[in-house]
Amino acid sequence: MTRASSLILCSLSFSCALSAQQPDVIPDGYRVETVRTPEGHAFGVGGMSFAADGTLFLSTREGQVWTLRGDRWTLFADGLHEPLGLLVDQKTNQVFCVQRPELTELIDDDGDGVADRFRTVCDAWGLTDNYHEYAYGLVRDEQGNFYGTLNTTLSWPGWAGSDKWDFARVHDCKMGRAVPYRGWSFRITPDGVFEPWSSGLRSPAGVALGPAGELLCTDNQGDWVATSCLHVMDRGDFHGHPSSLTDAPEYAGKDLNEISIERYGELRRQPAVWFPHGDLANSPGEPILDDTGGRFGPFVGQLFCGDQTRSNVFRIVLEQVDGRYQGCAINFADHLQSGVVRARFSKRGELWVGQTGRGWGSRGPAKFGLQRVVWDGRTIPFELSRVAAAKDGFVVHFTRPADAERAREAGRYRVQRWRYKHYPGYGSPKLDRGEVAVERVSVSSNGRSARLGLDLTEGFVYQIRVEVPAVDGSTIANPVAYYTLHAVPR
Amino acid sequence: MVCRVPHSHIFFYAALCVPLWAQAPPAGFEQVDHEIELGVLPGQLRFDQERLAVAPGSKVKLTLVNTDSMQHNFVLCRRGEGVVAKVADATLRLGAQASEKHYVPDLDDVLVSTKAVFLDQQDTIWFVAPTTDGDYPYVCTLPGHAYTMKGILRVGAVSVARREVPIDNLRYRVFRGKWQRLPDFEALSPVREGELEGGMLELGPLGENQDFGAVFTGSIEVKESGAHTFFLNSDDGSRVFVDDREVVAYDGVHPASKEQRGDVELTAGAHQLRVEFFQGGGGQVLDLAYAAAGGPRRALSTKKRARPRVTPISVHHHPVVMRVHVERASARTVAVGLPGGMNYAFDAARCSVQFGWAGAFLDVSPDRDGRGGRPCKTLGPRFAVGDSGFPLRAADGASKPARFRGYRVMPTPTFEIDWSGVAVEWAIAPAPEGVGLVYAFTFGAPLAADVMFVIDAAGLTLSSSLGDLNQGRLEVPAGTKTFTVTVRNPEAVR
Repeated sequence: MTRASSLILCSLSFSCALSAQQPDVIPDGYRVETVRTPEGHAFGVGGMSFAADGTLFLSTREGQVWTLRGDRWTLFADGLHEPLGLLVDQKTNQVFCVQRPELTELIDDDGDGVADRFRTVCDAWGLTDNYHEYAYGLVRDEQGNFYGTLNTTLSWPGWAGSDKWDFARVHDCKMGRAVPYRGWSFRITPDGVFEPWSSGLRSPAGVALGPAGELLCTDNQGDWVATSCLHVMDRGDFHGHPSSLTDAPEYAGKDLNEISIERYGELRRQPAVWFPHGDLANSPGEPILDDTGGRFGPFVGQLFCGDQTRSNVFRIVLEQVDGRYQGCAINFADHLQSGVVRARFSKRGELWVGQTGRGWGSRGPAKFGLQRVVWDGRTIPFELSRVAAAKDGFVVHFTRPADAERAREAGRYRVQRWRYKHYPGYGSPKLDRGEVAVERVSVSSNGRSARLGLDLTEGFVYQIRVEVPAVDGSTIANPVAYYTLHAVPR
Repeated sequence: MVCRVPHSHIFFYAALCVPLWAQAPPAGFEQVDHEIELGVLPGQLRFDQERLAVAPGSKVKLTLVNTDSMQHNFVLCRRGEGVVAKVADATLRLGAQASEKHYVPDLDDVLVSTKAVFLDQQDTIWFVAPTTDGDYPYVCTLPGHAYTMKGILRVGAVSVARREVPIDNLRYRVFRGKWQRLPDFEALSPVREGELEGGMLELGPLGENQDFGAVFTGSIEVKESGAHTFFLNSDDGSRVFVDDREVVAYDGVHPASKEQRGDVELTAGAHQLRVEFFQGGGGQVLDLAYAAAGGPRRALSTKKRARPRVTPISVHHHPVVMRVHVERASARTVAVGLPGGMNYAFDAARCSVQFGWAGAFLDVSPDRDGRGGRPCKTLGPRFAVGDSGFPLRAADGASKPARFRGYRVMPTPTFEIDWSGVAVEWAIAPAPEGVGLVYAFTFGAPLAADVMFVIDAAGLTLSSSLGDLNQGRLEVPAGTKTFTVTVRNPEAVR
């Protein structure tokens, strides 16, 4: 990194925020602001993390790490290999990034705001020059262990343009595993010891910690992945894409093609929540927990996630039934200026989203960028807070009281369901699709929820459309929720 | 005696011109003996001509045309051993002034030079060629470019050859109108006429978007008598006449989806060519070529070719370290560019230097375009550095595992390696002379035991602070805290 470039200071005498074109759809009380990025630099965001003092550290696909203090951008580091995960430790202020070849600590020895040393924390996974071999991250648990995920290898010669990466494709699927641990999530101890965590991932582009500290990732629709989804990852899980089993000790020496497609379906831990392709999301990035204590409005404890193709932000609300994770996904802001891949809450409770569209066909006029979603601090929008499963149907929760009389009308709720299949093909169609009759509705006395009585069948995704106004006549900006039902409560 | 136009005069003439493409010749140079258009090969750090020839004392007009993403210049030097190296060296020492001096040092060794121009720019200079016969080197003096971007201007008796173009006297007439098929152009009045000096059919210069037609006329020089085939594709309609006989046609309103062919017997020699074309809306294409039976196609048309995109990372006064995929190198390559044009590829997987290269640093367009992630290109010829893995071994020559632990960039890129419990810092700098690198090893603590430095010495000149190497092996005694090895490749590009 040249010293000259390392001292670039983009000092602005006015705020970094530019007025943004507002999304077509966004709940009342929220607006989008565009943050000015350093001029002359391609700024495809790969990783974002706020330090304890509020400084934003941001890494780009082009290999740079920038800091934003107030209005001032400083180039912190350069020459990294596609860093798609960044973490500033809240206690020690150490800066870690996960890049293609390794987990690295960026060390500023002399405290001048520029990294001087790049310490390899762990480089134990396999890497070729296959462009799909991304390394994503980055979260850290209370014990200081790091977690991230590794993309599979684009192996099919027809796509990859070469058979040099044609390894471990199972049942002739497109993605494979050319070198160790592609398709795995990993844990790295504070001492830098690599531990494979869970397998069966395909393109696990975003990693997060959930409301109860669960390790989460999103996966992208493709071979063996019916539609994009959210996984809860426990150690030893197999999430469905078989190529990565090449590195699982219990499969050592086995021909993975001898295991049937149906058997793989049984062996996998299903994702917690499906994101219906084209309806909600196509390539989700990083989810992030709203831990703002209410400074971002009434969605505390929920997960927000961005999508790279659709350039939207949506919400995910998890619950557990019978020990199984499931829940709903509901759109939030649609569309932003470019593909959203990373999301973090600032200390002030703004949702900052890192964007990049390069090469992947994102919606929106910008090729890259940085925006933030800001809540006005007082307006409670009338939205579907969440949908929960009940033994005889669903409970739709509103953010504030609904018009109770109208909320009782069954005709205002339209429910459809379908299911997906697990197979090597690229994405699954919606199977066994049909309308589900809402047989009865009861509304809570405070108008905050409506209980829908309907037939529930495990293994289906339910699309629930709610056309109910609030007591004051407000309408819901995002009236559709998608509920993934693995287990029916008893 | 060398006759040259002094530097100050060149800049004076150039300064008279405001737009670079409308430069006027200085007094006395309205007619010149040689007109040279010198281009560059994009992304390759080479001129498109490496041999030029002019007569002694002749008047020369030379235009440097830059179609490359990097800045380039043209510097003509006097004859002599080591002149180019001296000029390149002096350029490096210009430091911060370099760019305003267009990277040309004030030396008598420089005869004439152009400005340093960017992509899609050109600069023209007029000068009187040296009167003494001989080979005069010319070079681009942007940092690192002189290794490969050079040629020889031969001053001697030379005849001016006629430049061959595919279509001689190529003229065009433009018509406006809306048609479904080619009209009778002779019944219409053209709105404009012109000449295409390049001798190739081209729609761009016509400057029309839609609802227009054109008639091109000229002559082609057929090399050998016999059967010939014409290949035509167009959007929208077109047809081709040779000696007033229609040879191939693709009329109507359509995209350029299907190449048409037409055969004709032609004798060797000149033949009249007439091409009619019309365009409605949407895309416009006119592709024409011909070939003798069994021979290669000779293009008669051209279009603005998408320039090969080069995104160069340049090295100026400080080293640049980049982790990227590099062509024909390890997936864990750490590419390092050192000031002065020496670069190398370090392999973090094996803790070894894979190769070096002299020249500009890297073209990262494969990593930055589209989805990226593809191997980048080294901008300059590579040279071997005797890569045989991590070069330190136990005293008996046995390898011990080396783990990459990270690096620093300033002041010199230095790699930190854990060599089976021994902390090693390996700093790499350019060799003081010639093409090569200097390896400096520093241990966390003085070595507890003897070790050996081992390298594949084939083709290399090696020396060290601990004495000479013996066939690529050097004994490093216990107690050593630091030592250096200089690795030079004398066969590498001069």
